[in-house]
Amino acid sequence: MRTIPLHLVRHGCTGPTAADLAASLDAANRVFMPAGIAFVVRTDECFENSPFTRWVDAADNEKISWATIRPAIQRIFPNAPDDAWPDDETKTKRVWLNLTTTLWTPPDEILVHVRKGGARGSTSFPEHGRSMFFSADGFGSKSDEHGKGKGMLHLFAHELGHYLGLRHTFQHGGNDPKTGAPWPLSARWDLVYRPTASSAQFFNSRAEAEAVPERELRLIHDRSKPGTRGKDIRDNCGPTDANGRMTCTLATSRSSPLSISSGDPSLKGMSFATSDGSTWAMNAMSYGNMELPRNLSASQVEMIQQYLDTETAIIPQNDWGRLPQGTGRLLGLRTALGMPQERWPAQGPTQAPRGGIVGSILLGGVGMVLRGSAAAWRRSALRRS
Amino acid sequence: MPGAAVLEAIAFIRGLQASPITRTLSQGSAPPYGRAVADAGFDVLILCASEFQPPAKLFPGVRVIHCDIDDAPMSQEIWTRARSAAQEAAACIQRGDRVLSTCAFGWNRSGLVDAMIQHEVEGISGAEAVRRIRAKQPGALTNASFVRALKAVPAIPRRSRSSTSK
Repeated sequence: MRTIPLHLVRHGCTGPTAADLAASLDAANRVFMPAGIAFVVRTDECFENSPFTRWVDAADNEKISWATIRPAIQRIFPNAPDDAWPDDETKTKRVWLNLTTTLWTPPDEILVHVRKGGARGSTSFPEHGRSMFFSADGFGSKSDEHGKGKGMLHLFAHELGHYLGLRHTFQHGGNDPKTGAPWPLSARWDLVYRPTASSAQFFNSRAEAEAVPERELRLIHDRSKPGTRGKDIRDNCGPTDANGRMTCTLATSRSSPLSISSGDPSLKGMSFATSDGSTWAMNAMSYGNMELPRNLSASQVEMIQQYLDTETAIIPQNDWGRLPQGTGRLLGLRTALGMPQERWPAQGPTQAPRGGIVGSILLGGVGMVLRGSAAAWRRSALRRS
Repeated sequence: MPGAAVLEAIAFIRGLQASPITRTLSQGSAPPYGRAVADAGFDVLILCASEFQPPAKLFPGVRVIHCDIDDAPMSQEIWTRARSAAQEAAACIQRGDRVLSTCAFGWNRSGLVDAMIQHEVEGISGAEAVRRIRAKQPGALTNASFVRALKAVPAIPRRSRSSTSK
């Protein structure tokens, strides 16, 4: 079991409550157990005086200079160099936080930003960065002690799935870290099918799916927008009933579509029988009711393992602008998650400490030397603890 | 006002200084790095000194509330920030956590937040909270403008406890 530490940074000391957080964390740990992953909160801090409490307003999309945002960034990342950017370099708050989180979060942990408002959850794929953003109401169950929860029990697990490389069940993308080439649909063998003249072909392993031409494979889940209006969404697998039971309608080569429902082996990657026998778990990477139980499919567990085993290079985002001088190649660092420092991959000189403020002070009697900068002292104190 | 490095050194030499104000709330000076705060049984650490805001990683095992305020004349900004931290800490206490509120020397800024926490948790008046803190932490709450603002906070009637208002 790989234990991955989480670092919660709350921008504004409100929510989620301990109960909501614990519920979402427990739910995530149940979902990721088949992947051999457990998440624990290592660090939990909130900042009353944070400029990042929300950026949903138009004003929060204004570009802010490094000189202005630097103190807030250095409170989260004390090793961020003063001169990482010229003082007059400007970016939006979202970009500053996304970029600095990618640069300076310790490789072994996932940093989770929690804001008062904004989108409930948004996460970087391994090739896009290392940030996770939640709003305070993105955690917890409807069935909390007050009976007025947010109904977002499995959103945390869903976003962690993105962090570990998984796309939605109805979307395809990303590169296989082992080959660097786009993931073939066959890698998602329990989420795809092949339309045939008589019906549809489903698969029980990646090898089976690889045996058919890639171009003939289709995702089982099709959630598309045939129109231009946001509400005009067609979902061939939804909605589920109150017990999580779903029916997916698949296009085939014959004129009439094929309908398959929970319990059919063909839907083994999308709908999972639970132990109580009366309810169904949905795939963790689907949309829909986040209160229902969620599972990962076997192919998703395989893909996560690839991201944990093989490092992914980050493709700098267009809105990042220039990176600090001396920044080496950026890595997604999923292989370092939960790993001791000696197993962290090198990614270039981006972890330079800030300039020192004290030289060398001997604390008589205690036998301890305070040396180097305050940041170095903090790091050494952390190592001692 | 001493800087972060001096406070770090003082904290290191003195160790953890914390005076119990109530069973679940204590007040103290800048804490030493490491597990001292968690090992003393605290679940939540409030860092009130604007000049001493180390990252939470340096205090493993506790949740950290960064409430950086200055020991200066009371302002709306100070009041709002302290009240927000106090409300969060009060919620922690109400679910069974033990809270340590700290500033540079454990006198004014931590006292301000402590008083507000007691008001939130128990509904006592600001004046009563000031009296309690001064009795348990000698030298605390000498910032006259903090005390004036706190003394203007009435007790919350038992049936209608809500948030602190100035």
